Amino acid sequence: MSTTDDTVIAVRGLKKSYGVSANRFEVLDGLDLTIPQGDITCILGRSGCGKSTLLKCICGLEDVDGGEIDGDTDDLGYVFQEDRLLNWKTVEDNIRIALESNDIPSEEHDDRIQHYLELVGLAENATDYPLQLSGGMRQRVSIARALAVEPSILLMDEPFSALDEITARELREKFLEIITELDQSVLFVTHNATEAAFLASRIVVFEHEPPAAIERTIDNDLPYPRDIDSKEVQELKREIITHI
Amino acid sequence: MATERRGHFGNWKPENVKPLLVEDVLPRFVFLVGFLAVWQVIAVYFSQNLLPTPMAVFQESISILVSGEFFYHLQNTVRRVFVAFVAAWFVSIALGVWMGLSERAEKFFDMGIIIGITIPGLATAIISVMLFGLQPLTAYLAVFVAVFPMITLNFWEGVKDIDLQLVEMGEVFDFGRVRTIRHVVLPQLIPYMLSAGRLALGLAWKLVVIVEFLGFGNGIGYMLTSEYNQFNMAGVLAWTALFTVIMLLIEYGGFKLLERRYLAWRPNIEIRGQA
Ligand SMILES: Nc1ncnc2c1ncn2[C@@H]1O[C@H](COP(=O)(O)OP(=O)(O)OP(=O)(O)O)[C@@H](O)[C@H]1O
Ligand SMILES: [Mg+2]
Repeated sequence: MSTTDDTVIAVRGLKKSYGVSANRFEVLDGLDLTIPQGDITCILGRSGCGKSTLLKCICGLEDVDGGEIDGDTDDLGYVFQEDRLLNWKTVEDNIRIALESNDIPSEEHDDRIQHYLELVGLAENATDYPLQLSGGMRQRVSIARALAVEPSILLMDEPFSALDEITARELREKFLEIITELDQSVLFVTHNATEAAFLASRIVVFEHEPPAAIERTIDNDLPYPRDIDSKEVQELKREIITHI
Repeated sequence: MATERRGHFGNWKPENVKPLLVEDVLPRFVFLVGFLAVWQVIAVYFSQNLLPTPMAVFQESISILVSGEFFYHLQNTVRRVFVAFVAAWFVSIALGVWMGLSERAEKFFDMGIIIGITIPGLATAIISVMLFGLQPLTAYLAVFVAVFPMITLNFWEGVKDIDLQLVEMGEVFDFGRVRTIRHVVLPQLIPYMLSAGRLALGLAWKLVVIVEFLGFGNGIGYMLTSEYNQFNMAGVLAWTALFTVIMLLIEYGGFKLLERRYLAWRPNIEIRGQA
């Protein structure tokens, strides 16, 4: 089976459990999910319901026990909750090593680094070391790194939740601007309903308890650009919360 | 967002790391002068002429240097230290990494490491001399056995401290094994390599001197013995001082430079007291 043109990733009947025999713990038990091209899909659910596990299965960090993941899973970008930068490399070299690993021709490196650092507003900081930057700036570098490999899909696991509220808010706005401009497909995990209402074009709410199953899918047709304080976003947030 | 404040380190940048400056040199200079002054006072007023003055030791050192003896013995000692040190360092990296990665290896070796650290250097030296007699191997072996448990422990801890989240990041971005080891794992071990190097060198030299003391015909330890036999305190101090100078040169010329080169990305941590 292959994905259709407008689907980036299709997950069918995905099974994943941790532990063995008596301690066996089913986290995913037959999950189906398709991620359309250009969509920002938000997975929302309580802590421990299996959101990170799903992302790890998609990117190959965890082996799956059953089911299929179709799509170009070699070609993805990942933003973690922590910035996960190499502190001994400059900002540009942190991006460069990801480009090298993805076999991007070396003559393109400088242009891409420059371009994506400009997008996240850090063009000036290319030769700085991560420890010279603030937490918010580091997370922007980490976003630039993931975008620079020009992935078919960008996986993000609560990328803003370690930041303070004001920085997170600024960064969310900036991020949404970039993503809509690039028409980048995104699979975004969060437990923040406002964030989901603001960013997502589609919100997938997981059941409370593992094994993870889809409680409800909510389409979010509010036009971009959005205002996080707008009545519509706040209303949607309230609706989402009733399902978590 | 562009107006966001830079980190806490201002314009700190590795390539701007300042060369040796007054604030680096001055405190150390003051320490040295103070040390010599205290020594002088004790020698003149409190030691009933047992302790020679710094000047006397200095003159003795000069005459040892001029006679050419120093470099002959230094060369022998340095060779013993160096061979054992390099061997111990490499074996320790391998063993330490192995222990850090494999639980079985850890359980198998950890008691040996603790025993190794506990055995007094003098015992290792005496046992080696009794077993192998006065041949070059004896010195290497004694030093090796005494040094390598300590630095293995160091590497073992280093490997356990490796940030696995970064390794995971490398996996997600398809770094592959070589790039992960070279750019993710090794840089995290460099601080441990440097501190293991320092530790090993200090231990090795102390051990070599003991081994030489036990009967080798040359080396700094041998000369210390021979000055001791003549009860020449100035001689003992002069040999000690000369060797200490060499060790300081290695520390400041070698390890401190390596640190500047490889750990420049780390901002200096300063613990400030309350005003
Ligand atoms: N390596 C592992 N070994 C055993 N159990 C695990 C492992 N990783 C996750 N789990 C369990 O699987 C369940 C789902 O974990 P997961 O990390 O996917 O949750 P999450 O939805 O991302 O939660 P959070 O919002 O807190 O990040 C949890 O109950 C967790 O205890
Ligand atoms: Mg999680």
